Amino acid sequence: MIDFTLTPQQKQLREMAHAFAQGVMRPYAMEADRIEDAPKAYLQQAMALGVGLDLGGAPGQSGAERADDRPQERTANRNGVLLAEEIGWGDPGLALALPGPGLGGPPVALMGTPAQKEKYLGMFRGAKEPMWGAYALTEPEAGSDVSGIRTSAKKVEGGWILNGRKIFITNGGRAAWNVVFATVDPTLGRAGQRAFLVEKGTPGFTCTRILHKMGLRASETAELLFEDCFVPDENLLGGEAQYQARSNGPAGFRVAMQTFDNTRPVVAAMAMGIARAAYEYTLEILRQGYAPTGHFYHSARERLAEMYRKIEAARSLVWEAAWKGDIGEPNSKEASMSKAYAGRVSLEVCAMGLELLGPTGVVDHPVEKLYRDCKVFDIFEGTNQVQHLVVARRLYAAHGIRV
Amino acid sequence: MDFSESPEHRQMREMVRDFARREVAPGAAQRDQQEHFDRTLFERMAALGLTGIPWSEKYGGAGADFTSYIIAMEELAKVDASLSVVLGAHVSLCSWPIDRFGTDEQKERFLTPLAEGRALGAFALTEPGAGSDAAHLQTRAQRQGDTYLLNGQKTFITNGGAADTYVVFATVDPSKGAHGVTAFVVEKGMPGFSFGKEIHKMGIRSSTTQELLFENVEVPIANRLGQEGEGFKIAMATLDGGRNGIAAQALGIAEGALEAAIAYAKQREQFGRPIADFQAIQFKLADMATAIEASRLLTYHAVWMEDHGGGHGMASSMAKLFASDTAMQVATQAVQIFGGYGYTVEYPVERFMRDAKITQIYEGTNEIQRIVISRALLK
Ligand SMILES: Cc1cc2nc3c(=O)[nH]c(=O)nc-3n(C[C@H](O)[C@H](O)[C@H](O)COP(=O)(O)OP(=O)(O)OC[C@H]3O[C@@H](n4cnc5c(N)ncnc54)[C@H](O)[C@@H]3O)c2cc1C
Ligand SMILES: Cc1cc2nc3c(=O)[nH]c(=O)nc-3n(C[C@H](O)[C@H](O)[C@H](O)COP(=O)(O)OP(=O)(O)OC[C@H]3O[C@@H](n4cnc5c(N)ncnc54)[C@H](O)[C@@H]3O)c2cc1C
Repeated sequence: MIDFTLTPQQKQLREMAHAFAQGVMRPYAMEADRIEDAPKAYLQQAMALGVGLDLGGAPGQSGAERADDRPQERTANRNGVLLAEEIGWGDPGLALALPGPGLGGPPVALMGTPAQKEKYLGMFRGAKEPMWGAYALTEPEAGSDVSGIRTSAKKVEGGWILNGRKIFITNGGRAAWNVVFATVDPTLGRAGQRAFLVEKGTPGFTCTRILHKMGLRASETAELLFEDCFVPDENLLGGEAQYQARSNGPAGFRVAMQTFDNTRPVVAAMAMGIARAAYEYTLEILRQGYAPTGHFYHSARERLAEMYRKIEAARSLVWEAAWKGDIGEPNSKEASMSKAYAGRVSLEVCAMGLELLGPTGVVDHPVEKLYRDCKVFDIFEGTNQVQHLVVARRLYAAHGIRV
Repeated sequence: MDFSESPEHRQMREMVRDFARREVAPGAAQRDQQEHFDRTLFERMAALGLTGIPWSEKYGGAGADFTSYIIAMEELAKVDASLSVVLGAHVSLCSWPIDRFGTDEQKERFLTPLAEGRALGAFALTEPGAGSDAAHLQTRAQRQGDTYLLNGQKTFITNGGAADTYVVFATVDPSKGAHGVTAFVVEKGMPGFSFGKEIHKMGIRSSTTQELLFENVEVPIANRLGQEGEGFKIAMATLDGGRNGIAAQALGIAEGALEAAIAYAKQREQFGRPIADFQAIQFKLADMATAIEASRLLTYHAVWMEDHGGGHGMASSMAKLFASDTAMQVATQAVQIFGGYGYTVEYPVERFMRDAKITQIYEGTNEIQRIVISRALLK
């Protein structure tokens, strides 16, 4: 059966997120872009309302509540994309700046020991000050090629010594903890990878700089340095036994990838939210400025219809990927398709919006900002090209062809 | 048919390229971030003879052709689109109508300092209520004896505030529509002529864009370009040539972005080899280069027509339309090839992407170019 209706709870969730996006996020969006940071007042308001971000599940109730593994009909993925679309619509930079475990949530929830979940997800429960988690995989020399990471983990008495550099880490500098991927032996490839929970302030761990970007400027993008950074045994994510179980492939890397299956539809939903915002802004201005007759309105109408169609198509892919995730079916292919498509659509829709708006759009207007913001949705969480590789692998694997 | 570059043209290209690489490129990113227009660069262009390339030596120009000017625009835009906009507004929008429609006396008074780069020029057509629809502008010019009283407001004026000489369009009678529009040369410092809001933009941030305010500005009749009611014709003719400049600018942006992308793709390694080894990247580069080549041919064809008797209206529209769309696509793809690095201000491609957008908008949006082209086809 195919059914696109939302449950009453989902509708309510979406309305709440929308109200937050409109009432709390949007008023700060332009300022945040200018100051390249999330304004304190915004973070405080989010905290007061209990709104946080956990890209593995539902932003709104930061992941802590999923620390125990109660069996139940999962709706986390679907709820997650519904909410992500709204906060992307509100402001994508401010969305990623929301306090909470963020991208760091899924690996901890998927793989953490009960004690790790309690400590690192539990800390968000009832937090008074804004706090973040982060996910540190990318390195200067290892972006698309995640198996090529070089940050080293050396076993020592009672723990591990990390050495290396991470780049482009969202909230990496301000985070209470980072999930840091490292390798015990680069020649082992994926099998050598381990993930560690590294707390802020750990000696040997520093944030070396914050990157200045074309867009998404409200969101912190950090470069991290690990110099003989000691991490105790209990911070090896999931415990060593996890990494020895080879039956399903190497665990460290699998966690990194499983994380993406969960987060890509969420990221795609945000991109779609951006596109919807750009569409609505454009429509609003055209409504104000042009009589619905005449040549211009005619060609604009066609454009508007095209923008809308692309957004709807993206939403279908996103919802399907999330639904598959919820019912426990493999969804890498759908997750990648949704991300590649929605990332592209968001850029196309913003570009069309700018075209219709003319100069109004390029001077200090939200659509100008959204256009700068959305380009990165084609890049992070796996570039568009990498998504295509993932999809192609899944398609051809069935025929015994490796690509 | 001959696609080779003449020795003079080659010389111009080498000279501007050298200047662009040595003196313009180094500070381009910083000027962009600080939204800083650097007048000394304009003065350097004056010293090199770039501020008056196509004008007669009699009026302080270099006596060269428009192709030479287009070459300069292209080479500048490869490293800094903002500076090419400054030169474009100065040469093709402000100086051009004075050269074409001015009297000898007006040329001596206004064109000579512009050509020699002692004065910076601007062109003021657009108003808050009249952009694409320039015939319905509201700025009034009321004749009072030997002067006109100008009242009104202009917006989005490139070099606004910084410029010394402004070609301003106003109407002597709004009920006449296009037939009331008249062109004037207004000078900075004239009583009642002031500047409004500075406009913050997505791209070309180191060129100024400002509002102009006219409050009972007394403009002598000697400053009127052409006859009363000829202004609309002057504006449209100016924009025909100006479009070649924008096409060249767009071409330069695309070339700059492609050049950066090729260098990066060869040097960036992922999966143990340069990303240039991946066909996904190779095909992107091939498409980018092909579109650029087509833009180049359209642009140089349009300016060749301009240099050889005119009639280039439709060719210029096509060149501007195609080259600006190409610049946008190529710059966006260049960001993609740079991956996460392309999204940061540490590499020039994000600036190219932001700069490219405006080429699809000003001097007639691309929709307006399509109107121009289709009208000519359906005539
Ligand atoms: C704002 C921002 C936030 C980010 N947040 C995080 C974060 O929180 N945590 C984290 O770990 N990372 C984060 N990233 C990093 C992001 O995931 C990487 O930038 C991305 O994976 C691409 O890697 P790269 O930048 O090294 O590009 P590269 O891998 O160098 O890619 C360059 C180009 O080559 C192409 N390419 C590479 N390999 C192939 C191939 N095999 N076939 C075809 N084409 C190929 C790519 O598609 C791209 O076009 C973030 C990045 C940005 C910009
Ligand atoms: C950075 C910058 C620098 C500029 N520099 C100068 C300058 O130096 N001097 C100057 O005079 N002006 C300048 N302009 C103004 C520019 O040329 C105008 O903005 C442009 O011509 C469009 O006019 P508009 O802003 O009123 O847009 P509008 O005319 O309101 O157009 C809005 C949208 O409607 C579309 N549209 C309008 N009419 C039609 C139609 N009939 N059919 C289909 N689509 C249509 C347009 O394509 C556009 O997408 C500059 C603008 C910018 C942003």
